[in-house]
Amino acid sequence: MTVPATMEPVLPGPAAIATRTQRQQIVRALRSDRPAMAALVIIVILAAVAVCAPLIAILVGHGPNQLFPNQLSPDLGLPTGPSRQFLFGIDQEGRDLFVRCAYGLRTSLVVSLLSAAIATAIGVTVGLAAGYFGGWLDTLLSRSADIFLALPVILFAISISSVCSITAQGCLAGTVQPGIGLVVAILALFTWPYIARLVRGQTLVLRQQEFVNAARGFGAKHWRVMFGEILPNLTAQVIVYMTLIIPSNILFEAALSYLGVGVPQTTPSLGQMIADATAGSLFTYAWWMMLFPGVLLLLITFSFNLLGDGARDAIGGDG
Amino acid sequence: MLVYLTRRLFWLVITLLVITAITFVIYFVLPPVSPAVLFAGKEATPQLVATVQHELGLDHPVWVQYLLFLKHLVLGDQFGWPGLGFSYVNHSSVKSLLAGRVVVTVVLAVGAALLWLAMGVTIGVISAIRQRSVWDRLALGFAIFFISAPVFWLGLVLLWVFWYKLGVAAGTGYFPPGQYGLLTWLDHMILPWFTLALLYAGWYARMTRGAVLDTLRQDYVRTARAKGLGETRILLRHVLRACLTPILTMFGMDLAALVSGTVIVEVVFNLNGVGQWVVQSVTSDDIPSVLAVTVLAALAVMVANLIVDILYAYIDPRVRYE
Repeated sequence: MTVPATMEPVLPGPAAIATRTQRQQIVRALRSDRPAMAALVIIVILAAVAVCAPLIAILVGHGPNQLFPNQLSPDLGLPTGPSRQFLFGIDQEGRDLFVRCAYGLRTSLVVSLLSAAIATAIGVTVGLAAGYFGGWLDTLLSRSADIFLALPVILFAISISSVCSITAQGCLAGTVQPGIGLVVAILALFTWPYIARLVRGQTLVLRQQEFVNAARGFGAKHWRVMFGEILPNLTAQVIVYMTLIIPSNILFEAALSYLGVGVPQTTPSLGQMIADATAGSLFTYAWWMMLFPGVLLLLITFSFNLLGDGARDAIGGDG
Repeated sequence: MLVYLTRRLFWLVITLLVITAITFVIYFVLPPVSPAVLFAGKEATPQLVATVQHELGLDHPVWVQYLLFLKHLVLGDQFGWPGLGFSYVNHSSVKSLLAGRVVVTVVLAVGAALLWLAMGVTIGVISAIRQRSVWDRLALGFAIFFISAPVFWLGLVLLWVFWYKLGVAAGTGYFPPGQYGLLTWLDHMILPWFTLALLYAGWYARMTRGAVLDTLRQDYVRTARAKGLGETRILLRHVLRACLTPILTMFGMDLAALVSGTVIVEVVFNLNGVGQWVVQSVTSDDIPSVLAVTVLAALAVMVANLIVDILYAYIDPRVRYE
């Protein structure tokens, strides 16, 4: 039930402050952070565009891969710029960039959210196990995380991506198929160590606390203490970190697609669209092919970074 | 210090072993077709594939090949030391193909690193001493903006504005100073340097700001002020020195990420460095070349990290006594 604003006491007494839970405090702090809230609004709008991409395609009447060769300039076959019919112009093959951008956003969001979720799940599990059990398990897990962090990530990413795309059946006897799933897997593979490191550090501190001893004393199993007692104390930090991993994954997917080893050619991707603009220095003429996908990419990552930053300030984290 | 160094070197070797092993798995276990098929070309007969398989040592089990690769890396092969094998595509030694390109990549990376350190630290300090001012807000906005910008797009936009529209910068390509003169070389490097530097400068600005703000609250800064020292002197001698450690730590951690940035910037600006070459090698399935670059990149990152950690002990005496 919501209390009308006028009924709130002018000066909240100590009791009112004390009854606010930690979560309410965080939400309150975040709400008063105007840039972060603006960012959230932009994210919601862009996400809506991404979700509604097929609807947009129907409304506009152009498919994402539909060709309009008669729209290319008649003399040289060059793409034409923004018009009433094609809001963002068309690309070198005569495809509607507006519809493609909506689909590209979809790809960016699906890939980054999925990979961030998987990386978080792995990172939390590994971090909790390493921090809680310690000993040789900690050494093993922490060292593996260190090795992953020292890897020249992009080299591995383009290697795996290219090797698994040599033939259509993928690699490891067909278990790894080329496509969006492969990109998600690669991103998750290289981002879990960041989460694991954060969770491990916090777990090391929390496992010394009395409530952990109490839970153990009551006979709680290890996994129960890890996920039921320790993890809830880390939720806020993990969510903040995830918010910051999402934009970096969006950029990584775009970079892979830009290099031609990301999502398959048939899937519209913002990175790939920018690569199209680069081919033969086309962007010097067809500025719209470079501008719109790039600005969208920038807008979505910028918003996630602003939101993540605001969230970090709200939970009082540093670094 | 000696114990510490030994331990670090030990880990360096282990990490390198793991990295080469992973690369081997990627190229020799994951793909559905044998590397020999790729080497022999499109119209290879089974006999040719078999010959190639034997010549490349691909008829051995993977672990034997792995040990052979390590042996060549450490002891050298027919092309000298370090043995990096030969390219499937050019059919010449990887080492000779790499030699000229390493210079381009190092020039790009070092130039950009100096630039971003200078930009990041300056902006960070200004925004810390003018905390909550318009400058501070602008600087933070700048930081998040460039952290969020896709580096390949940023490069294109800079090219479009400064080369195509304004005509003040040169276009793409690498022009060695010895051959084309210092100015032409510089002209072609400025945009790539800035593109790569802007990508990281934001992080450094934010971090420096935080570190300076923390240090300004320290007692010894108050003491220095009480002694009547000028603000500039306090900032340079007392505050910035204390901030060197976190900046250096971050620098060490960023070296691995720098590899990614360099690859992309080289592709965008058509610089014929290692990064551009590795992308070409990947698309043409030139396994030995990719393997060599991956191992060398990992080695370079780890050695640079080691140097950073040793520097650490010199800059910050507290590290030495721990």
